[in-house]
Order: sequence, then C-alpha cells, then structure tokens
Amino acid sequence: MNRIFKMKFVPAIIMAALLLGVLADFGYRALAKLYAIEKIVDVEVDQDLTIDHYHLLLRNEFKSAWIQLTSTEPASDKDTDLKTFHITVDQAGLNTLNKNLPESGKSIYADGLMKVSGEKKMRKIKVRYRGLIPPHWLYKQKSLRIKLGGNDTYTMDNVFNLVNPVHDYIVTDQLAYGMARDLGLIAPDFYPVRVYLNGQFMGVYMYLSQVNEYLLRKNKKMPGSIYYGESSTETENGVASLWFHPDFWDKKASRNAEQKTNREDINLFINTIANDTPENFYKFFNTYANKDDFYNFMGMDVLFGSEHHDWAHNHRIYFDPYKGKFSPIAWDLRFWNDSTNKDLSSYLLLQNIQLNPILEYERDQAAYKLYQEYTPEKINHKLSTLSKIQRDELNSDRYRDTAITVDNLNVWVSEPFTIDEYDKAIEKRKFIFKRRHEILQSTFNSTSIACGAETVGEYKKISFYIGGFSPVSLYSGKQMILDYNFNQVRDENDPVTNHTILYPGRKFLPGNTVNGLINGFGHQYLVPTRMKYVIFFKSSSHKFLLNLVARNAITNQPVEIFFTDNDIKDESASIHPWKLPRSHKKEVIVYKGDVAINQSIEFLENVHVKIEPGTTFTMAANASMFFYGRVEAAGTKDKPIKFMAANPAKPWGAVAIQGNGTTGSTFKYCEFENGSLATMRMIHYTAPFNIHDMDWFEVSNCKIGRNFVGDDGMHIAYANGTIQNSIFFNSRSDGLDIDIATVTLTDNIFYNTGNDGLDIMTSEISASNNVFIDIGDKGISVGEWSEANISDSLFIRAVIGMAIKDKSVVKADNLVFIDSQKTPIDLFHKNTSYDEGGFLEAANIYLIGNTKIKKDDMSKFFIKNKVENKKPDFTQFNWLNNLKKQSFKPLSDEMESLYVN
Amino acid sequence: MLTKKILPSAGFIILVATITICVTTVLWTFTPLNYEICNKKLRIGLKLSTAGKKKEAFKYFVEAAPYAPTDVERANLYMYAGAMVTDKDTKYKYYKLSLLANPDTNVLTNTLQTNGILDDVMNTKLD
Repeated sequence: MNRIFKMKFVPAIIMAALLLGVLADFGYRALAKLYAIEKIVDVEVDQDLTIDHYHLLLRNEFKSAWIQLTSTEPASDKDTDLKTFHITVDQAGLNTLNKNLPESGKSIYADGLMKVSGEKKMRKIKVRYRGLIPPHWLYKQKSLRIKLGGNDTYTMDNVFNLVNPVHDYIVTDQLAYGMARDLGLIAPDFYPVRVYLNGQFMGVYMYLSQVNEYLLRKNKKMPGSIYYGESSTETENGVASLWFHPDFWDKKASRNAEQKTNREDINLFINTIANDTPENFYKFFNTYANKDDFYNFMGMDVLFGSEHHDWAHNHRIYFDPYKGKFSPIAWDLRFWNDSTNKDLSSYLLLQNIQLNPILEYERDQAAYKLYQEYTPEKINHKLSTLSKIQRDELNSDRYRDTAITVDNLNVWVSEPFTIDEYDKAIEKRKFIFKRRHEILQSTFNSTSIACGAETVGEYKKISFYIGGFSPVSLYSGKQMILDYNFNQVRDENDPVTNHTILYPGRKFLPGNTVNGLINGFGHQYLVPTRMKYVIFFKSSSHKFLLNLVARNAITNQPVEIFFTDNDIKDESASIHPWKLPRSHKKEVIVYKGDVAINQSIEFLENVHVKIEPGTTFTMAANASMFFYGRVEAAGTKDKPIKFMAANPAKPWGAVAIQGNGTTGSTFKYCEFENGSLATMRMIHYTAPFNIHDMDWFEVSNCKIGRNFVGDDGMHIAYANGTIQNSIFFNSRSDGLDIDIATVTLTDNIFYNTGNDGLDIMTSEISASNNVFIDIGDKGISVGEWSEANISDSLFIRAVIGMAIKDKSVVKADNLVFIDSQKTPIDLFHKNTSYDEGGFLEAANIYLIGNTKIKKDDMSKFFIKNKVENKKPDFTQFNWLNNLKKQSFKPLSDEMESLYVN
Repeated sequence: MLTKKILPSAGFIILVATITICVTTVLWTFTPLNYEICNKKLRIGLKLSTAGKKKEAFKYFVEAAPYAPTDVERANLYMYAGAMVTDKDTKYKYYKLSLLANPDTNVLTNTLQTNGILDDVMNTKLD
C-alpha cells in the first residue's frame, strides 16, 4: 500500500497515459461512429449532432465493451435448440460487399458456402447484405440475404434472409407472424437462429423467408401474382402515391412464365381502390377480396396498435388465380402502441373500408374476435415463451443491439443491450399490449343512439342518429319501415323489418393519428361521426319508443337510447349504407328439356340452380356457364344431363362451379363433351368442367369426354368432395387435375388421356377401385407435396403407372400395373420448390410386363409383397364389376379379353 | 517526520486524478439522457393514469415535458397533463402549453374546437 502511495512519477505517468489512452480509444470510436453516421445520412455532424448524441455513442462503446467482456462462450451446435448457419465467404468477397456501403452491399452477391447444423451437406450460396436502416449493414453484425445455388432449397426456400434483429423486442415480430399463420394468412417463416461467418460467432439472427413463389407453395397456395408495395413518388398533397398508381407495385411472382408481365390483376386492384365510386369499390371488395384475410390482417394492426402499414410501404399483395381473390401477405407488423386511436396504420384501401359502414362493421367484428381471443394473458405467455427460446443464446451474442432514433437525428443508430435490458424490453411490450387491450375495450364499446320523433299521417317518423365506433343493433316489437330511398315518406319500396343494424359514419380530420410524416402516414384521418337514419313506425302514440331495444352490434352490450328535439347535422364522409347495393333475394332456377346456351351466363351466389334429368344444354361456340350458387344436377342412368356443343366443330367454353356459395353442389349422370376453356373474373378455367374454392361437392356417374384448346377434362382446386363411378376419357391433356383439394375417388375409369389420367398437386386424395387405361403419361401423378391413399386399382398400358414426386407421400395397397411403357412406378424430385422426392409405402403390388420400379436419390419406397409377372385373382377387385357394368362397353370387353380372363 | 510520511507522491496523485477522470467519464455516460428521463416519467405517468391515479400521473407528465426531445412529444405530454386534471384553469393552461409547443397538432385543436373551448384555452394566461 505504502508503495502505491509513494508511487514514482514515471511509472505513474505511464499507467495514467495507458488509462487515458484506453479512454481516448473509446472516445475515438464513438466519434468515428458519429462521422460514419454523417457519411451515410444527410446530417452535418457539427450542426445536427449534439453532445447528447456523443454521450449516447460513448456510452454505447462502454456497454459494448462490457457485453464483450461478460458474454459467454457460444454453445456447441448440438447443445442449442436454435439452428446454426455456418457461412463462409472469402475476404475478397466481403471486401467487395463492404466497398461502398450501403450500395455495394446490396447491389452484388458474393459467392460463399453454407452448412446448417444437423445437415451433412455443404451448400453453395450467394450472399449480399439487406435491410433499409443502417444497423442492418453498417456495423459488424450485418443482415444477410442468402440465395441458394442451382435447384437447392432450404426448408422450401431458395432465397431467404438472416436478419440481424434490430430491436430487442424482435420477438413481437415472431409472435405476429405466428399469429398471422394461425389465422390462415400467408406468412413467411420467422424464427431465431445462430450465425457463424468465417468461423466467427456473429450472434443470434432471425431466419426470414423471402416472399416469392416458394413461399406460396410452402403455404399451400396456388402460384399466382405477388406484388410488393414499397416505394413511389408523392401526390400533390404530399402523400405517397403508392396506392394511387398500379405501376409502383413491383411484381415478384406470377402464375406462370407467360403471366410474368401481365398486370391485369394489380391494375384492377389499385385502379378500383383509387378511382372508382364507393358503390363499385363495395362490389369489387365483395367479389375480389379474400375478406377474411384482409380483416384479420387489418385486425392485427388494430389489436397491436401498429402504424407500420402505411401509404408509402410495407405491403405485399397476392392474387390467387383459382379463387380469383386478392389477399394480403403478413409482412412487417411491428411497433406496438398503446395509442388511444383505433387505427394507427393508414392507407387508401383501409380508408375505403372505413368509409363503407358495412365493410367497417365486418372489419371491426374480425378485430373484436381477435381482441377476445388474444387476451393480455395469452400474449404475455407467448412473449415469455418466445423470448426464453433465444435468451440463452443472446448471452453469448457479443453484437446484440437494438436500433433507436434519438432527438432530431433522423437516422437509426445501434445501441447494445444487456440481458437485463432485454428482459425489460419484453416486459414493456407486455405492458403496452395490456394498455392497448384496455383501450380497445372502450373503443369497441363506444357507440351512441339518439332519436327524434314527428308524426306523419298514421305513422311516426323517427330519425335515429348513430355515433361512436360501433354500430347499433335495433330491435322493435313493432315493424320498422326503413326509408331506404331517403324521400322522407313511407312508401311501398321501403323494406319492413323487426331488426336492423344502424351504423355510425366517419369524417375526416386533418393530420394523422401518429403525428408522423404526411408521406407515409397521410394528411387526414378518420374519426367517428353521427349518421342519420329515418324509420317509420305505424303507431298513434310514441309509447313504442320505450320498448325499442338497442345493443352494440360488436360487443352486444345494451345501449341507452337518448331522445332529442334537434335535427343533428350529419357530417359523415362515409357512404350511407342504405345507398349500397342490397344482397339479392334467394331464388331457384330450374332447367329441363333442351336448353340453348347461346352466350356465356352467370348465376350469382343467391341463385340455386336445379337441373332436371334429361336436360341437354346445347352450348354455342365459347359459351360458358358460371355458377356462384349451389347446383343440383340430378341426371339418371336413363336420362343423363348433357353439356354438348351446338356445332361439334366449334367447342363451347366451360362450366365453372366457383366460390363458397356453390358448397353442396351435386352432379349425377352428367356428360361433358366438346368443351374447352374460359376466363371470368380473372380466373382462367382450363377444363370444360371446373370446381373451385368451395367446401363440398359430389360427382357421380358422370362422363367427362373430349375437350379442346384447354388442358384437362376436369379441374378441381381448393375444394372438398367425392367423385364416384365416373369416366374421364379422350382429354387433350390430363383427365382430372386436382390442385390443393381433398377428394375421395372411387370406382372411376380414366381412359385414353393425352397426358396424366389423374394429376394431383398439393392435395389429399383417397382413391380406391379406379382403373387407368391407355394413359398418355402417368396413370396417377402425385406431386408437389400431396398425400394419397391409393388402393385396389388397375393401371394398364400407361406410359408410367404411378409417379410420386416432390415431397409427396403415398400409401398404397393392392395395385396392379400391367404393361407400363416406361415404368410402373417412378419416384423422383422435379420441382425445385420442394426439398424432397417421393415416398411410397405399399403392400401387395403386382407388376406385370414392365416390372422395373424407378427412383432417384431423394426418394424412397418400401413395398411389402411385390409380385412380378403373376396376375392376382382379379375377382377380388370391385373395379372388375365396375368395368363390366359401365356403359363403356368396347373398352371393358377389350380389357376383359386381354387381361382379366 | 509524521507529516512527511503520509504525503502521497506526485505519481500517486497523477494516477488517482487519471482514475478519477476515467471513472467520472464512465459514470457520466451512464447518467440518463434527456429523452430517457422523459420516457421513464411518461411510462410511470401512463401507468398511474391507467390505474386511475390521475393526480399523480399529472405530476409525472408535467415533469417529463421539459425533457421531451421534440416539440411534438412535449406537446403530447402537456396534453396528457391537461387531460389529467379537473381544475379548469390548470387544464386550460396545459392545453395552451401543448398548443404552443406544437401549433400544428390537429388532435388537440380539433378536440378543443369540437368542445367549443379552443378560444378560452388560447386566451388563458400563463404564469
């Protein structure tokens, strides 16, 4: 002690100099970061950066040093629950990326290699940086975009991102993506992983799928258009023009190569939203929008108080080619707020919905459902679980940081965080959500109803004024006569009811709910205002008013009716709901006898079509029938229903059963011949007989015959149902094409098809007692992530009896393959979107003639009891009887003489 | 003799001074920044306000306002403070401070206008 007390001058100076040197080093590094910020953004260090900024940056340097000193060694790959990505990029490649950030890092890819824990293979990759704000690419831990080489995919992604989490509450994003997926929205994979770059541990990253066709397939959706809404110019009032011009929407995926440049869908979408009347927008949204998806997407923004979907960016839109509907893709739901405003996100589509009281009511119903389901307790639990998963790994992450903006410095800077701060950040989100939840309770409860009365002849004319956020459900013992035509008098056309919903309006206020930049957040926003309704009651006194019952239409809470003598001014900018087209009355149309279809005809959702036995539709060239309501086609064996060409040389178009309104449709003893294809509501129907986007159908004893121009005899997509005792023959391409559907097929015959007999994509099929004869390609093609149970079936003279490919799984029993031209069974990987080949688990497989089963390295099969060149006892199979009883006699005779006897 | 014994060397003094400078610098960097003070007080204020303790919440909003990094945030804090009190003069005073901090605020202006008290608020004298 004494020695230190009497320390000599020179060693003291040296030690002091060392200490000051260390301090100066920290100071220099903080200053360097200040100037690095100046270089990348438009700020003058001397003018815009203050001592407070330097204070913050210096503190960050100390914190960073402390974190580096105290961080633990990363666990070995096998000791962690997180996947670990080992990436190697040579120094020259890194130098090129770092040359002139941010441009250099994003404009080119560097070659590299990648190995993922748990896998043996080393993958060739291309790497670049990604992310808008500097913490993604300015510091050592950078966000990466990985492109896999050739046909390679990782968990069905060919391109993905390893994102440096720029917030210590990034688990809120993970929670939101998971929730979106649970709600049926298309959502990218988003989960924590660990990353090593050139052997150095770079910390915890988030795996994020790229939004492209691969993502659609991963979400079991039909490949279709994907548009990114990310950048645009500005309108006159300073708002971003993204939602006003379709050209700003970048097409990133399409139905097929030919559709790559086709922008018909986005043109309709944006032009209707931006330019059409409220009435037409209403029709458009009801027809072309997947309303459940949009309402859930918007409902999540309401639930979390997110303002991140705005006029300028963060939008992804998908158009489903077989549903003919647009859906949002879950993207960038972040920044939870406990603001008192219901909507913080703002953009033209949302505004159009807000201004339509009926759509706004539907949207609020969806948001309220989320509000009820996702309680603070549930969200707390989810946040705790998700944050725990990465917490241990964050302990060894020396680069863990969160992006913050400070004061007037309009740029994000990186701030290291301790584990204690991480825990606090999660707790803060829980608190924000709790408050938000409380706010929403009062928002949804907010409604008011006032009324004023006057006598008009024998009627009482009551003016109702509805205010607040939620509509009012009004019940009356006396009949209410709604003045739908606003003429203030009771007339015959006014609808009569005992219950109605009266909606509040919305009016514009200048500014935006987040006090943010006009470009992104808009120059005006909507708040509730009163809307007026006139209802007549036949009564001599006003006493009935006391018996009116009003309830909040969202929460079902009772609402007190106030009486007023004043005529309250209706300031609403919303369209009055009584001006909107009313839903059509249900009607039944019956067809019988000979019916000439000279031009295409649409049957709307309210129309139930009954087709009697013996009806023959004589279809003009290209004429089609589009059904949006239920169809009952009840032919009989003796009196089938026929869809025939008026002139056999001129094929008709298509019969399309489209949408959920058609659920329950049945087709018995129907015959389709000489049809081709059609297009309606931007859906391309590729077969004469199409069933799309519905819950249940039954097809039995039908004949699907020759077709022209199009592909398939019959096409099914997004539907559940059964097909029995039917014959598919002479089709140009596939006999029956099933995409993303669940279908049971029994006792059917597929004969002489140009391509596959039965082609399955991303579907679940149960098929038994079917016969496939003279098939131009595969008897059954089970592809693109399908599952099938196939039993008791016969395949004769197919080029390939059965193909199983691309992550598909088949369980088979009692299948007979005779004289297959190339191979009876072929298992292989073809489509690069899928990361596996085919898988077959089978028993009792009879191979006659060609007996060689083929498979590639990515496929597997297990067959119990494979019998070669020995016919089984055919009498055990139902299809033998079926062949005999089918009216397709020449074929059954031939089959019987050649193979069965 | 004793005095000579306890006098530290010049080297010791320099070293202590240097260590003091270093420690002080580190401690200084960990003192809260203005926006952090503001956020902390705002958070407490919001918590109290949710719990119905409006009087206490008012105190935190008022204390937070001078530390607000931007005029918009300062205006919001004064607006929150005004909303917490029942006394008309105090309420108007903080609403006016809010409008002065951010004259472009639409939310408050519109609310006051709707309630017909915008002119009264603007005519309120500040102490």
